[in-house]
Amino acid sequence: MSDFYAVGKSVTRIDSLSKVTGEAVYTADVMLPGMLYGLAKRSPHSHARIVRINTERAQALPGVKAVITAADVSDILLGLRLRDIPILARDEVRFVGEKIAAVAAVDEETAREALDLIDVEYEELPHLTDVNEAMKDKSILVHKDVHTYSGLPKPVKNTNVFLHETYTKGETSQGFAQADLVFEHTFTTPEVHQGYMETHAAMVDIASDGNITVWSSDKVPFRVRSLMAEIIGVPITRVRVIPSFVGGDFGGKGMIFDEPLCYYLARKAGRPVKMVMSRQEEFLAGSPRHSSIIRLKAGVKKSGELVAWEASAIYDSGAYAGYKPQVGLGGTKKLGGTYRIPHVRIDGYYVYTHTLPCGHCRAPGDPQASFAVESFMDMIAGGLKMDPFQLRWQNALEDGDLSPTGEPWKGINLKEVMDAAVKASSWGKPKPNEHYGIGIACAERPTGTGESSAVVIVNGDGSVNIISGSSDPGTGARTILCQIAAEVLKVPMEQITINLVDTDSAPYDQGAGGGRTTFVAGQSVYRAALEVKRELIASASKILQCPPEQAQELIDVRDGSLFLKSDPSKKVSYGQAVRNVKKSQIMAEETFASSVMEDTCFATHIAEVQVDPERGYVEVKRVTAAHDIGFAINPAAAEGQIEGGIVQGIGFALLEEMQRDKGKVTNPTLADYKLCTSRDAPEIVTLLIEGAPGAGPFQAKSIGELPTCPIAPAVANAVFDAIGVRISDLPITGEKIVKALKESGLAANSRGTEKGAQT
Amino acid sequence: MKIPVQLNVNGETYDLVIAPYRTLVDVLREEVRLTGSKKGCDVGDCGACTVLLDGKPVNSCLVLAATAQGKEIVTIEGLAKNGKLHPLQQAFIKEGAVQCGYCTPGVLMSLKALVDHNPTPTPEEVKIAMAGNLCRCTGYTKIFKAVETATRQT
Repeated sequence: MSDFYAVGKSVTRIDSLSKVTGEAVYTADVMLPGMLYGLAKRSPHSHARIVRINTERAQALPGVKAVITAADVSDILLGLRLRDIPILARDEVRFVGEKIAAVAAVDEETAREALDLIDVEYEELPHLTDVNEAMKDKSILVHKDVHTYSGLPKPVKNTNVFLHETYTKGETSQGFAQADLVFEHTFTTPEVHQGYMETHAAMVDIASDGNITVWSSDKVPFRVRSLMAEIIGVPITRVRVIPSFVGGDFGGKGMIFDEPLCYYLARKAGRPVKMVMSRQEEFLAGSPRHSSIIRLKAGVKKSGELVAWEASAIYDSGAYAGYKPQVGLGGTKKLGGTYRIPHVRIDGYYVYTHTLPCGHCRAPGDPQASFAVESFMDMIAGGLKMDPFQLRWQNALEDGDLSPTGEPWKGINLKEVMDAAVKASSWGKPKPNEHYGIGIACAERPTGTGESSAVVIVNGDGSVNIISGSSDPGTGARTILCQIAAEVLKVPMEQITINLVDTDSAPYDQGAGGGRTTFVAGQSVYRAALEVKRELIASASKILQCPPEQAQELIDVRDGSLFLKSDPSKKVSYGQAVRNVKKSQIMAEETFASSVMEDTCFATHIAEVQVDPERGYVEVKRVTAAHDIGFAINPAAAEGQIEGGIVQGIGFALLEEMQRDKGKVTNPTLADYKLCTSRDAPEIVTLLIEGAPGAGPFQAKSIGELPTCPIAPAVANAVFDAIGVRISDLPITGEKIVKALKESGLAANSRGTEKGAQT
Repeated sequence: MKIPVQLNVNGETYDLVIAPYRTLVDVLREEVRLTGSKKGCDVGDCGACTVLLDGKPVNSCLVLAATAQGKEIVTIEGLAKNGKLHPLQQAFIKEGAVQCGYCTPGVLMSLKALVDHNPTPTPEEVKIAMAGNLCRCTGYTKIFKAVETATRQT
């Protein structure tokens, strides 16, 4: 790796200086002259008919400049694929927190006062807030017009189940017939919020010529542009989206929220309008991770060989499904784990209920699947009296195997990843005390696909610009784009500039998400840089008197200069090469698009926990995380993704749950909804496993999402190892542990079977 | 009704006329126009708005701006001195302790308060000092490392 110039190195991030000084501008920091403050009025009911809305009293309040209801906005339905979300509720509200009106006023206090002066008469209607009931009940429909919605993968009518996905391989009845033992269990996971520190923010300004400028905390500026243009009914060129730094995303910043309301309020008031969601609004009406009920059934031979596997998942989608770009969740496909199983059937059911709509949250669907599958693997190992590592090792996918859903992945290195994790952890070593436990879990997730364009420019002074509309919600992705260009052009990082630019000033980029930026945006930068390098060499060949047809082989680059490989003293600077073609700059634009991924990335996490059986308190002491990354362009950034994903996953395992009472979220604050604090963070040992080639530049794979998947089951398995009770309903709270210990009839100091010792 | 309030922020005096119910974070962001202090919850749960008030870290969303008169307020914009970054800032950059950056100003202010009183804190003291500052990106790991780096230098 020492041969590399700029990649494979933990270079400092290009944006960290502006972030440690407070200079970095986020959307809520932008203020315009004459700007108004917008707020939304929200439904207090899970399901009701809006009989009438009277805004007269609100409009009469001094300082109020605009009030809007559904009557003032387009009746278009919004969605990233399935279109079912109204801009403001029209006639009917479907969850507590749904927006029914909005106001803009000279300050926030006036806007808040105005909300209370909007008079709404509701007629409450019967509601469905339990996903099992909603699945069965056909007398109450969350969307009676679902059959008319665009974007439905398969037509459905008169049902709350808007999508049923299946994946099959082989014939499970045949598989179960061969099995010596059959295991079955049900797991549940709650809704959890992405927990980004920056809440959604938006601002819209409409110029006299009708051109619309949008500031948005969204991570996908080009999607904001197209959705806004569609709503307003103008060509996309009339909408310019200005990105700011994004204060965390984790899947929650891919859809527009208050941007359309800002537009309509601004149009009515004739002044720019900014809306910033409160933390409470985030919890009532964000787009969190779906809760799930997952049933697993496995047919196993006494030897430990997995022969049949059935999985079904029920996801509570809430009142709307438009926040999911694929309608379903990719995680459904992960319900067969990372194992060689000949006969598999997976069913995923997505159900409307009268609760807050769910969306994408870091590895959509994967953490739920991973928790169920990897907890289940330990239960199977327990039933077979096998070591949990051994059971996994025996069934682990190897090169040439088909995935549980029948995909032929290239370069499977799961065993290498497992082996690295086990060797670096305390697996198999004596436990320091009685209630110390260790647990293992594996997961996989492919690099994301998509479309990006980028421009790379070498200027007459030898400096380099990258123009890319990609976003970096904190991952370091845009630093990595600079490293890629620096590597190709062999110029120091300091000479490369990549600014945040608006949608008029950059070519199209699909935006961050799905673990695609390093691969897709990375390839566009990589290819554009190669093209620029080719042109520089062509120019330099004339100065260096090198035959043009051989120049690409005979000339190389280093530190911003071109030189003859045969005689490195003969060289020209990039600036000379640019000027030699009588131009001010040499530039190239490349578009890269990919929709197929032929490999995946594996991970193994090993968690070590200390449990206090009296109080049920679990402390995660140490996590060893091995990740297949292909090639780490920026190892520190990759570690940062893994460390952050693990601590987020520990929250999913032990703390986080959006509690509901009849559909209403009852813990909508960061005091009652617990994220991990500094005191919950364990020691994390990260192992970056390189070598299995990925599709990204320099054979890189993705790392953003997978780290949050295997950690929860690793913790659950460690808790079982420590105290001998299995919690299959997240989060694993002290209350559940104490109750389970009592019910299991075990004394508080009993423990599960020794497992590490057998390896 | 608005009242005159004089605030001392990062050594500068600001004469403001503000509504008495306005919080320090709002006045810093919207009147003084220092937007480095972030709002993540507005009720004292997340720590993104942490500033120093007479050297002590406070959630500026829980402080009425008028009550900060006569006190020395230091925000993230006042952490670097004469163009030189504070050792904590330098270490955050070096160790990759910054991701989305939204919690970073608050975290840095809590840690500055710690190292001002305790130049060589133990890992446990660091964890306690910033337990009121939520970070969703980093898992805190590289923040701990950055504090270690910064305090080793001082």
